[in-house]
Amino acid sequence: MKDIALRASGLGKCFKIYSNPWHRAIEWGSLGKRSFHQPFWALTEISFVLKRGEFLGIIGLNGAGKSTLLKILSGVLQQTTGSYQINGKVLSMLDLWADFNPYLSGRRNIIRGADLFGFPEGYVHARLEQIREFAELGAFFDRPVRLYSQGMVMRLAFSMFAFLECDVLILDEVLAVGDIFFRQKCHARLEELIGQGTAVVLVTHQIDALQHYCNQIVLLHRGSVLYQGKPREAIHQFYRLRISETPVPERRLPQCQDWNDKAGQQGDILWPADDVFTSVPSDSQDGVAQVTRLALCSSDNEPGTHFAQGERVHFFVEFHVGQNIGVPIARITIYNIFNVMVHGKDTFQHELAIPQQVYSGQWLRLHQSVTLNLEPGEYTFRVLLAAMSPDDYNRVENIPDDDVPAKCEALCNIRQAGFFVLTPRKGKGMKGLHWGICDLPGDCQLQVVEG
Amino acid sequence: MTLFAMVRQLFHHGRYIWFNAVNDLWYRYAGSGLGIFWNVLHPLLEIIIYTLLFSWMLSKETVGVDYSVYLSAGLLTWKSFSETISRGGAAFFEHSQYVKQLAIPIEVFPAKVALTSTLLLFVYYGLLLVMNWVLGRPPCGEYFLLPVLLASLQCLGFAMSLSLAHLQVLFPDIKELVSAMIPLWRWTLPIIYPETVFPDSFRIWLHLNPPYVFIRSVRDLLIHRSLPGLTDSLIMTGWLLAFLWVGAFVNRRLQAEVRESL
Repeated sequence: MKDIALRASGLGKCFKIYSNPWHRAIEWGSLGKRSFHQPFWALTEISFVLKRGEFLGIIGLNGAGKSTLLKILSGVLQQTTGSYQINGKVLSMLDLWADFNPYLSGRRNIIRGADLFGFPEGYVHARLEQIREFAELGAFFDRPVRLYSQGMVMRLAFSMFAFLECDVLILDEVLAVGDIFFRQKCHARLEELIGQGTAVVLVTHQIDALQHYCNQIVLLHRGSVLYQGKPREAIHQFYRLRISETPVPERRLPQCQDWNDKAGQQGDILWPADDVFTSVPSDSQDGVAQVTRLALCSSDNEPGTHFAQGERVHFFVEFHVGQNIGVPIARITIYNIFNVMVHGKDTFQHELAIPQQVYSGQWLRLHQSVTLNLEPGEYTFRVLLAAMSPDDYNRVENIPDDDVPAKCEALCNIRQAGFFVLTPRKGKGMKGLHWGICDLPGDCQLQVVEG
Repeated sequence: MTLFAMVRQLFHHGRYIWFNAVNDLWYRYAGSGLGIFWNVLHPLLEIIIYTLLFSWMLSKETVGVDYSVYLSAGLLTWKSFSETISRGGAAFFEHSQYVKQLAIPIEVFPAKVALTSTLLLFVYYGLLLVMNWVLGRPPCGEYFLLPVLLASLQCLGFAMSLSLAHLQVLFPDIKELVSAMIPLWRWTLPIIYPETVFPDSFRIWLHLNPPYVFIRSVRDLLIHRSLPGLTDSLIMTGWLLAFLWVGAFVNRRLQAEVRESL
């Protein structure tokens, strides 16, 4: 019992929603006999046990009830059902800059903050030097907070919390603070705290942080627990949830195994059944050609947006051409979360046999497949269609490389045509299948030589 | 019991309240180099205007010899009291960020507002006493009761604002009502005009106006150096305890709902 830091059992929260504020008064007047509010259950039946030195992650889509849960645990909101016990002191860092007075210096704000959280006078003075060093604010530590950039405010806040002792620390989306070096320091400090026996409750969208720290993850969905347990499975379920909840109609998940049968009728390329496609609204496109629909399928012929690392995926795009054009050149390019173009290869680079002319009113169909030897994460893809006059196209080897773009006419360019998520695959290596953002083809040999 | 618990909570967060109140005072006119000076200039101008206006309009007999002192005492006291109520009543809106994020008892915020205006009130009275002395009325031993009276009036203001603060969040109409009523309320009390404008038979009803006895006692003490009698003391204590209890009760019952509704 002694090593349990936080135990929640059957927590639930119901908000009363009144269409008119005075309905509340009428309810009071009727002494509870009449009810004018609509109950809204933001949380139901949340139970977990968190031991000292353990890390609990809470994930879920927006509106899943994460913040409500944190607010209950930190004592801001009162739960409607259930109960929780905390052994020791709880500190919650819900909104980092909520409590800073803009006219006071960082130093004064920290003294005041420690006061607010009930630390005895003088407690924080002994730690001020550590906090100042950790925050790396230099001379700004003694300047008013209103002169700080947002990043500096967050650094100050995190530094303060990192050095106030507590038994349960509640963090809401705070590990994305500052530059990479500061983040590394935050992570190191967190590990120190965990080592000292502090239990941490964390809400974040940073999957790598969850995977790294959490002993346990609670996946919330519309106020109730969808999954609770091991991080890997929770993250997997979270991604599935996110995909099924995106507005793109993807819930039906029809099979498209019949694409090969139809291949003959549809021309010479692979083309899946109609219900696999999602339409692209035409009002977001202003080019000569328009994407009428597109699809993304796995190698098992199943449409989807989440794939395993190293899986081969198929992109299908249909363009409607609005005027006579020359030789079409199409491509799909993949971008990672930092907007780095990870891969793209157009029909020209694939050295395809390409029609010399496409006439107004015709459709173009593009099928491109790529093996996703990339690091796990989220990616977006861009769809691009351009055209070149047949003359230029045929003598393109003779045109200087720098002049080629000028000879191409862009017809259609959709920057964020879609996204997909790559889930990690367990490899023998230390970090999945490879290090870095992509897996390049290659070989490896190692030999022991007698000396 | 409710009241006792609330007072204990306030004392527990005493340092935080004090710290923030002092800060508020300092930064209310933030960025304007003279800071606290503006806090004093406002009422000073008002006193000068009313003094000039009334000594010109009314004869000396109606107003009494010490009109400027009479007016200053009433006006400054009322100004702080009404500010406690209007700003304290809006305290949860003003501090909504804290109310929604921090797990500290929310009565701390109206208390902080009340303390701010009490500190300012003391500054006013300090200046007033100095001015009195210059005008030939040196301070006397009875004045020790002055801060006690002023502080209890501010406590009354805090108690009223605490209930109002909760109700304003739950019923936005009340917010409008309060801001409309406060200027009217001022004219129901003999603050600017002398008490003698009321017929004797009516004056007894003034006691139903909670701040009335407080303001009168403060004035009597300042001008006539007379301590409040037993009846007045009982009335004041009665009002104070009644409103404090109501405030504590409302605070206990509505605190959770207010946090959700903001």
